[in-house]
Amino acid sequence: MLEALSRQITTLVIAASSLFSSHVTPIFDNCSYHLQDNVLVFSGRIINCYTKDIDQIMQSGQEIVLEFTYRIHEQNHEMPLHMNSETHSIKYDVVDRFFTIDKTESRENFIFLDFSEAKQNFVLLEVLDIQHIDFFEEGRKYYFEVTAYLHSVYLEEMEKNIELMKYWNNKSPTYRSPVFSIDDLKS
Amino acid sequence: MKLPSFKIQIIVIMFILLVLLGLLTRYFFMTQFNDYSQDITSLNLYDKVHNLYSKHKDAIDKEEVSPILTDINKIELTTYLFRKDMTLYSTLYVVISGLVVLMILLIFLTLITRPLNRLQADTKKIAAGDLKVRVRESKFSPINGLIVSFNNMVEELESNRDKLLQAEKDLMWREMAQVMAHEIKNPLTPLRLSAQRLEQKYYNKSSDFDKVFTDSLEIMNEEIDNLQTLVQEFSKFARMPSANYTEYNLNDQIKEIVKPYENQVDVQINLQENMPVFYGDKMQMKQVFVNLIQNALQSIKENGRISISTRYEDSKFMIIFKDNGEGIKDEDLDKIFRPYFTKREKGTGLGLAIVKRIVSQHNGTIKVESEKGKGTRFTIIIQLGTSHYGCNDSLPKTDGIRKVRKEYQ
Repeated sequence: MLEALSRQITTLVIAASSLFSSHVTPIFDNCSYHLQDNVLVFSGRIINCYTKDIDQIMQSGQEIVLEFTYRIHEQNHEMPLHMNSETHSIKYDVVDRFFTIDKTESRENFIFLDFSEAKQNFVLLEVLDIQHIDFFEEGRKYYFEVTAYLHSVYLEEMEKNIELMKYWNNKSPTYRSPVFSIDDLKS
Repeated sequence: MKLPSFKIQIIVIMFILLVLLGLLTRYFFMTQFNDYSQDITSLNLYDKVHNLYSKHKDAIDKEEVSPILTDINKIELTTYLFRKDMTLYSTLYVVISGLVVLMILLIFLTLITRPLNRLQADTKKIAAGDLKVRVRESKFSPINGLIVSFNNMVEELESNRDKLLQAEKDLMWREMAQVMAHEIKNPLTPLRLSAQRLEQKYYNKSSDFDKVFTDSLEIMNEEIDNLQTLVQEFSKFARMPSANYTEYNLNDQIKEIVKPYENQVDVQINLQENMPVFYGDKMQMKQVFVNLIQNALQSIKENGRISISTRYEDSKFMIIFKDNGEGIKDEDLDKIFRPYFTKREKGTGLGLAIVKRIVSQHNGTIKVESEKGKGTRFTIIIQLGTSHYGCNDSLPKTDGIRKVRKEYQ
């Protein structure tokens, strides 16, 4: 009886602490932007973004979609001048036991046997085309924002929807560039 | 070590019980659920099917086995997530339900303890003699019935006290009327006899008329004086002015009062130093002390000694008057404070009645101890700061108490 109670108290404490620990706050890391063939490109990756639950869902064979949305703003303007998005999707082949990652920005597929490598690659943005240089006008200042969003996973037949964003505290990681002009990009 | 309040004790006990109950409930449900979910995962369905596929790769189409393995994974995933959610939600359930029950308990206890505190405070007032107090009713409190009954009881007490007071008053006035009639009748007899004697001597042209006239006139004047004294004392007793409370030093007052008596009798005073200021009617208290000293003087024969002492203990003033006079008989001790009770030829019987009345007005008590032939001891006890209680409403009651207490501290 006492043993059961002490076990319950321990579980209760763990569960109470899991209220806080089962969520993470992802952020963009190692971000950079530059001109590449007259196109403004962005590269970076998301860190602190995986939880045990997300790992479990990834390994279950369900497709997980990570959407990157980018917006170009003129300085001091809330309304974006341009907006677009690219997606990364990861799916585990339950029969042959490998991970396939599709990245729309590069129109490429990557295959990984190692789960850790697959996770690293899934959140990596190597070259994200933001906009062609012709878009930017002389004498005006701009900045851009990149945000990431995890789509929910729907388990068919079970009619169960798993909201993945809850593991991110429903907060999308966002990168906001410094203000720049076309001359800054060219230099 | 001081125990926490009743409310805190109940809350702590209930909280512990609730947590234990919640944990047991959680334990029961989670054990059941974990057993089922462990059963599913321990089957290792995925590995079994995958091994089967690996062995018979040539015979089994990948497209056929893939949905099966995906479904198995779905089941294991949902079981895992459900178990996790259950752990979390059951914890939340224990915590939230515990808090809700605690809140309800707190409200319930407040509904009990608050009226109980009021009841306790008002009971103290009632114990101090204020029967006008009524405990405020609390409609939602479970003890409201008790409060209503209590108020009814106090109302009944007040009514009975009023009736008793009225009965006592009636009795006192009847006794006083009898005594007054007797006291008036006493001088009337010599007055009538003197008048009749004068009349007789006058009509008989008696030779000693002049002498009889002088003697009779003396008797009549003396009896008229007696009647006048009686009327004055009665008037003083009947029309005692309302008290005028002030703060003053009781010891100084006693020292001042005894001065004129020091030539007549050996007065010994033993006054406690650093007493707090007294709050009372200075004139009335003077009358108390003077009456007690005169009462002592009347009982002292030779080598008389009066000792007066003051003490302050437990927020109470204690004034003791002791004499080595002839003392009071045991059977008279109960009667000495009654109006017009006296054993002396010249006494009016109102002195000690006035003393008793003033002390009572100061919310105090007076006690008498006496031994025939050895002396008498009067002890007056008056509570600090409550001496004004039940008296003149125009007085700064609470301020007075606060001020006196402050100075004492």
